[in-house]
Amino acid sequence: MPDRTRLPAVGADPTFSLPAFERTTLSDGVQVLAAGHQRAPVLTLFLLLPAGAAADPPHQAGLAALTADLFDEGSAALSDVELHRALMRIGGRLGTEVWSDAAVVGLTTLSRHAREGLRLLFEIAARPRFDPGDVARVRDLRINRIRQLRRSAAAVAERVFAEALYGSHPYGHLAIGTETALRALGPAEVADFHRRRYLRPPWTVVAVGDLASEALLAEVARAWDEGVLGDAGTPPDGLPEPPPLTRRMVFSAREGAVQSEIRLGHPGVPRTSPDFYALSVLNMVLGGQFVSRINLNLREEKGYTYGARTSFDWRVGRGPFCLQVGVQTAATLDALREAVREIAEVRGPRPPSPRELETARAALTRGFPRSFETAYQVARAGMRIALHGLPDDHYARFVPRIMAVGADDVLRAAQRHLRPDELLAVVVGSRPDVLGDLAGLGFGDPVEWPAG
Amino acid sequence: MQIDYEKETLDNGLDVIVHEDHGCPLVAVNLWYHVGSKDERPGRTGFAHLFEHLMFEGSAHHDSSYFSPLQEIGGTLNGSTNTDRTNYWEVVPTPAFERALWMESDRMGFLLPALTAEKFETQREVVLNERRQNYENRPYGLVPVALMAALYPPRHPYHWLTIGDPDDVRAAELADVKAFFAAYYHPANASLAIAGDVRTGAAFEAARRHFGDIPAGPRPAPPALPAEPAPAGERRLLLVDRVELPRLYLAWRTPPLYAPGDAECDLLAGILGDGKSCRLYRALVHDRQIATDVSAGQSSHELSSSFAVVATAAPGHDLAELEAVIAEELETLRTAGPTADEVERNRACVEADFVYQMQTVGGFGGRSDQLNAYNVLTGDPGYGPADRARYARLTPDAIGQVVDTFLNAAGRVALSVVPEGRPDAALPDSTRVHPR
Repeated sequence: MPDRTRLPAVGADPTFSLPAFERTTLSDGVQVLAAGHQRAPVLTLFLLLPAGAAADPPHQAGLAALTADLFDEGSAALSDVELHRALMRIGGRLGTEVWSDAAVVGLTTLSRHAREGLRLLFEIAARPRFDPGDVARVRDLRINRIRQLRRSAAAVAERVFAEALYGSHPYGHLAIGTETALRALGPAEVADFHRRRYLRPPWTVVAVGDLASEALLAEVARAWDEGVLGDAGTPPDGLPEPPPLTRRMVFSAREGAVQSEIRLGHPGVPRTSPDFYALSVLNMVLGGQFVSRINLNLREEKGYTYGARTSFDWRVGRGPFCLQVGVQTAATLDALREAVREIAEVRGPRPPSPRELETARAALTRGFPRSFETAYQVARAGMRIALHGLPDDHYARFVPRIMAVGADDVLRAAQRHLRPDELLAVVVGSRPDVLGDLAGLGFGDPVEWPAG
Repeated sequence: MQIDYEKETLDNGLDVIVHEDHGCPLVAVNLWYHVGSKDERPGRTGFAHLFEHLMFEGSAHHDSSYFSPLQEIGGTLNGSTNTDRTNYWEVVPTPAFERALWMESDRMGFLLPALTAEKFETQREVVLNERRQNYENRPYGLVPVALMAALYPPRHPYHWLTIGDPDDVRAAELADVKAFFAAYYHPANASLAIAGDVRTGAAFEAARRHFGDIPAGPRPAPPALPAEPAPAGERRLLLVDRVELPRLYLAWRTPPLYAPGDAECDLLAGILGDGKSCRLYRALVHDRQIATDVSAGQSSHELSSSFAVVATAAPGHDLAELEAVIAEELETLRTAGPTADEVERNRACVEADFVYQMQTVGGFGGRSDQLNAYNVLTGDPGYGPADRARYARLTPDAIGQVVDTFLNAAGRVALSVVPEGRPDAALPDSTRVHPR
């Protein structure tokens, strides 16, 4: 029998060496980050392109995502069927993501197919076919997707939160865009956007897999053909400041809903903020993991929800700080009150305790190796380095930087960057009069937000 | 991709499996109890899953949340329940291995003294909210309730969902917990896999020390399966839901996990529904443009599997149009089979997906979870090569054969989901159902 009078103590962590990125620059200014990762015969490739949803021109919300969605509809050399068959033959799993600040084409394959994988990746992004029939068909599929998302409480909450928080700011719409904007888009708009925003430096290729870093760099260089990207031209405008805020509440009615889907937050700070480390620790105390304050309160004490979490969305500009939670309808008022109270109290009346800070730092540092187990995870770290211009040894320095965050740093960051008086609350659920005295929470009268 | 392991069965019946991988300073602990919603009875559904929640609320020697001692050292943990089994896992930094094992063994040996009515009531509410979030308040969310009820007769253990009926969850009593724990939560009904940065000998020693004194219980009898009449023909159901577009679900019962025909159905799902070059995407979404999406899947389970084709109608089209095209594609596959190249490229994807899945030692579907799956369901943690061989020997003829044998009209359930006011979009002669 073990000693059951106390939990086994946990000794110091062994040293852990992160996979190191090697770097090269190809013609046209293509940046390549590669890391050997000899654990499994797997290769993950990412192509990070400088055109995310924030690059959508005014009144063309959804253009960046529509363009990226067309990448796998065929290229100059391959029909769509040929392309997808070629991907399947190498066990290739293709995924396109459109973030606010960038678009990403990802391909995971077996390492032995590195050459073919790279060939297909570049073919997809550099020479898409943009056949008019395909553009119309894919656009209509995306419009139907928007229509379906109107019935998902969580999707409505995401959209309303972005629109109400950011307004006409480039972060003020979701990547999928709006039905009105998409209806006006055709092959000309797509091809023009691709030429102006996608075929332009800086492209970044991240390659992580079961090959030496130098071999990966060589494979990427070999697959790249020159002359694909135009010159850098005038860089696009920087991101403006989000509009000023006061505490307010908007709602979207969902008659008879058994839960209220809630978003609560305000614009945060850019990824490059010096407070990144303190805010990462703060978020772990407040809502970043199971034992965080808001989840313990709303789920484990009250049973209102299956789970509640907060996050700072680390973007090039001021991405949102946000609480996401779905609560049973009758608990809406109380859940909002408790959440606002937790956000306010962590700034002073009830600052993070030494125990909470230790748990928060441990989650970020002792759990660190877990984030670098697979090629896919390492490659995602490489993309963050590229997107935010972080030093190549950023992750090697991450643990000591988090460990250096003290109680004062966290409290100061909380006071500076959590602003209870500027919180936007979004409620997707029963009408406010069913939910009780929402105005009594100090958000003013709830305003109904237009259906998208 | 081979997963090397050693296995030892303790005197109390607990299977212990150890897999070494020193690539990251992490250890994965993964514990399966061979109990799921298949072991429940009508009127008491949802209990196995509610019980899983209680396992995180404390045990006799650590009477508070199981998350704190593991998250405060940088670990992660979770659990899940399905029809067949309940699994619990931790992934922790190497020096916390003993702590994770201590906690798993404490709740196996000493859960009940720490259980209170208050914990029980709170987790019941959490589970009801999980059900609201993932089923009731989600478009098409109640479809699985209707499908399983139609595919399996009322006394079949797969007739109900693991999340359970909400009234049953409300009716669950604290007193039921004790009997359930005694019947299912003991070493002879469990399998422990340890994977990662451990030495095999030391891991077995630690497992014996922590679990060796926990008494074995009786091995539970497998659930009784009701006698079933042969399927009397297709059943057509209609569900009116808060959705934008009508969606058709065609479902059949297929051979259990690892039984002959299971791998064939899995590969067939890829031929029909994986990627943009698969047959149904070409026919429905690309060429005719009468659907906005389509998928196909073999959902493999211990007692029986189910195969489903799911397609959403594009505006202006109804589900009968979709059904006709799907039936035609199935008929083509039945008579002519897939091409050799189709089988080859889908096989390449299945094999690569397995390698991708095995990149991680812990968590849902990682190596430790897979070793336990093989051990609990086949008795052999080394079943991996035999598992892969099922796919390696597949022929185009065998694919046509499973379509003929299993995906026929007689055993088919066709469920039409339509928005309010659009019964015309459903398949004709469908009977309205009201899952909840």
